Amino acid sequence: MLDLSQLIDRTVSIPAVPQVLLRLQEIVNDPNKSILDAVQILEEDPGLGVRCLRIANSAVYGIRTPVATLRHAGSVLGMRKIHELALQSCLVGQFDHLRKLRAFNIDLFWQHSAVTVVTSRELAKVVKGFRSIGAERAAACGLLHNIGRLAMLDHFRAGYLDVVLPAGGHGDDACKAESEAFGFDHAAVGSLLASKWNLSPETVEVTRDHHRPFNERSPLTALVGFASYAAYELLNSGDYALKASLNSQEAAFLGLTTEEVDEVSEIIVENSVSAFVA
Amino acid sequence: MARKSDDDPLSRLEGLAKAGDFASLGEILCKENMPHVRRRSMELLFEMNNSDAFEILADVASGPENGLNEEILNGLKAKPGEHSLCALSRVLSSENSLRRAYTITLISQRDEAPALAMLLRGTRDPMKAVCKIAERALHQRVHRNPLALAKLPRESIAGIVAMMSLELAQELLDPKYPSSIRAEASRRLAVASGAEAVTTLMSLSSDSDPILATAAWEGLNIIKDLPATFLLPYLADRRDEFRRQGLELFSKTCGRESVPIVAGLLKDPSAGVREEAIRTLHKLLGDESTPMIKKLMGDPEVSVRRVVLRTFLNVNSARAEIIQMVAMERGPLHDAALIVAARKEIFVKELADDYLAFLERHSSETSQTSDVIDAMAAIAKILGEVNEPRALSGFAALCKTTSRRLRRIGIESVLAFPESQRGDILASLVDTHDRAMLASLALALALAKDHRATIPLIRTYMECGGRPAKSAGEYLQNDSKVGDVDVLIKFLSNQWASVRRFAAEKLKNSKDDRVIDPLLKASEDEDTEVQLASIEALSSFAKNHQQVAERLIHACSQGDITVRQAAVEALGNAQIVEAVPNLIKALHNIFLRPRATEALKKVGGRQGYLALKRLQRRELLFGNRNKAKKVKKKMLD
Repeated sequence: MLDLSQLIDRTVSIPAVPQVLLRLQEIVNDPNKSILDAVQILEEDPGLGVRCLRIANSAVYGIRTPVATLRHAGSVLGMRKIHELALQSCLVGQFDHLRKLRAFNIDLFWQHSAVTVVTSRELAKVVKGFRSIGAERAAACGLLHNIGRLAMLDHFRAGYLDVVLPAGGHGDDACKAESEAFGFDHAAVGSLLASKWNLSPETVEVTRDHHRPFNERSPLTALVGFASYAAYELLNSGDYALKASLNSQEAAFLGLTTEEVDEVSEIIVENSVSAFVA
Repeated sequence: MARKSDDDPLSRLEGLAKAGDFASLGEILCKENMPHVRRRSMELLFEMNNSDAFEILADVASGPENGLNEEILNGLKAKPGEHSLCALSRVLSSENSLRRAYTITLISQRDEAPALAMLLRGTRDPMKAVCKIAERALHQRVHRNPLALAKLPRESIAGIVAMMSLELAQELLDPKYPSSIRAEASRRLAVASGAEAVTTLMSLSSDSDPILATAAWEGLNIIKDLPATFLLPYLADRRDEFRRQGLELFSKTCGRESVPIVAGLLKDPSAGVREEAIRTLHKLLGDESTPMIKKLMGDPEVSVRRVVLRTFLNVNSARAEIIQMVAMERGPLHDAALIVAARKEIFVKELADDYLAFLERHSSETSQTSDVIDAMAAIAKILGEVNEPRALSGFAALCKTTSRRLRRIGIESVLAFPESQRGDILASLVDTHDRAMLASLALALALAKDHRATIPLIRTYMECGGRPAKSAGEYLQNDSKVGDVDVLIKFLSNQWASVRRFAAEKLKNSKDDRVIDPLLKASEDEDTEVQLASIEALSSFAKNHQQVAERLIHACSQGDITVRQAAVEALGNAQIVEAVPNLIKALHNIFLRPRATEALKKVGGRQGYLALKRLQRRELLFGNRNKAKKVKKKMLD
């Protein structure tokens, strides 16, 4: 009898890990490597290099003198940010052909991921109980938590949308509909992709568990799962909906005071706007 | 086939589009579940290409995420024309910051000039990140094509240029740009201050373009700590206006060491410069400036003398000069000088006539300015304090003005004089409608035991309330005239209704037949209160006087209801048999019925008895009609 991963493996074609990402992962994980090694990779990938320069020159970093060289961009962004950008770039490139599907708005999907990244990062910074997780780790998990949806969409195309859209297109209902129709959901597919791409164990865990019942989630998964929900509210209904979600019962585990909610929601919106436009 | 077409949502959309029903298309775009139907309604709205359709698209794009928001915004961006731009500006009011930010990036890609104004609006966004994006876009657009600013209204240019860097502002001063842009750039430069800004603005202030020159002067006015030495060339400029404006600026920064320079300008050929020099000297020296300024009291220009006068108002050592100016000046400036003298509470015998003339002249005006009212009040105070007997007529004039404040001051001033002097004046003022003044006058006359106090006292007693009425009542009790029938008969034809009423009420207890005719006349008075009091007074004569009975019978069938009630009651009390038919008639009036019933009972007789019996039986049979209606309604409910 096939286990779930074998079933997914035989059903869905998981894309291979891009070379650039693989090399950057090695540099990030190797304590003997420096930012110059990462910059060397950027020099070899013009698309990624240009993206790094654009981000380094954006209003988010507030650099007065223009960042003209990749080395300068590397020093501004840092190794982890370059890795994050490479990951984003690879993911966008990997699934860009899905843009042709008229019934699916891939831009909206990426916007949701970007806002989840911002929300996860800010919540990890503000909430005392989550500071040990690390803001950047939370952000990386936020970026990839729904990646399984793209893999399933890539494989099943319209069939996937026919299953998901009647269930609202997102959230626990859509996840349940996936399981009923295909025997597995996007969380399982996402975790398989993450493990195949040699991403960190916590990324694998978050992609796998972010739709599980709340008491079965690890703190990081709970944080990213909530960030995903808050990001959806922000994108869908605006700033006030984000604040309302941070004040809701679901956010009780964060233990934020009213003042903290006001402050963090403002930061999330600010950073989301910057990320959105950059 | 037709039925199939009706069922097909896309065909329905086409039909709505043909009918121009953009509202229904918008509703479908918002509420429809099927994505392809929503998309088609969006496409059709774009095809309609009018402001209404674009507004609906903008509202949908501003609202909750429906998968098409971004596409709508991109579509609006791609559509040329002001309608689409206006629609994009509507999205700037969205509650979603992300959408506002995205809209700003789209607006920044539009080439039309109004896009700049919209970006300016974006810079005022409540979210800082959105502001930053708008600011950056605005900077890029203006740097790329500053001339686009010329097509915007002045306020927008000012807002945008104020955000630009100093370098760009200096560049925008170039003559190749229109004066509207250059003017705002000069204002921007002024905000930056600095020596370079001052010299640039000074050179621009003499520009032939009046818009630019005015802006430069305004800019120079904004600059704080403008070095006085920079402005000296202006003071020697051949143009009058330059010397004036230069001196105005100079006065802001110069010190006492500049007094000789400014004093020299008191002899300037331009009146404007002389005026400015007076102001500057006063600012620099205060009271010490009086000897220098008084030299201009004989200046040929009225405007200069007026500034001199205003300056004297603010110094303490110019008493003699002000008196001199009152004597010297004629016309409006004479009045102005007099106002200054009054406000400074100056009194000398020579001024008394002028003050009195001022009071008399202005008290007959119906709409005095606040300056004149203040001056009249001040004059009244001064003349009252010095007990100038000739002022009484002036105060009397004040008591007749339309200003309540002046009337109060006038009467207070009159009352400050001895009783022997003020009696005639007080008596001349009694015909007033001002109750407060009436009470003061009446009590003052009564206190002086003046025989003219009776009518004012009666009026105070009848028209006023509180303590004045009580005091007036006490005085009237001791007044023997008030009990005299002849006097009261005379009062029945007084011009004041309150006095006539008082007399009628007093005559109620009189048994003298002489009062009948005057009371009969008073019962037809224009004032109903007087009528009522007269009818009540006549009631005691009704039994023995046929003419009184006839008048009462007549009164119970017409006129004011209170008068009719009194007449019915009087007829009953007098037991007038002739009145029975009229009293039976009065039974039909619910306001007269109780009194008419009582009256008929008192008069007696079979006719009246039967009428009352009929009324009683009818009430037993039908009861109260209103009450029955209420019961019926309650049952139905």
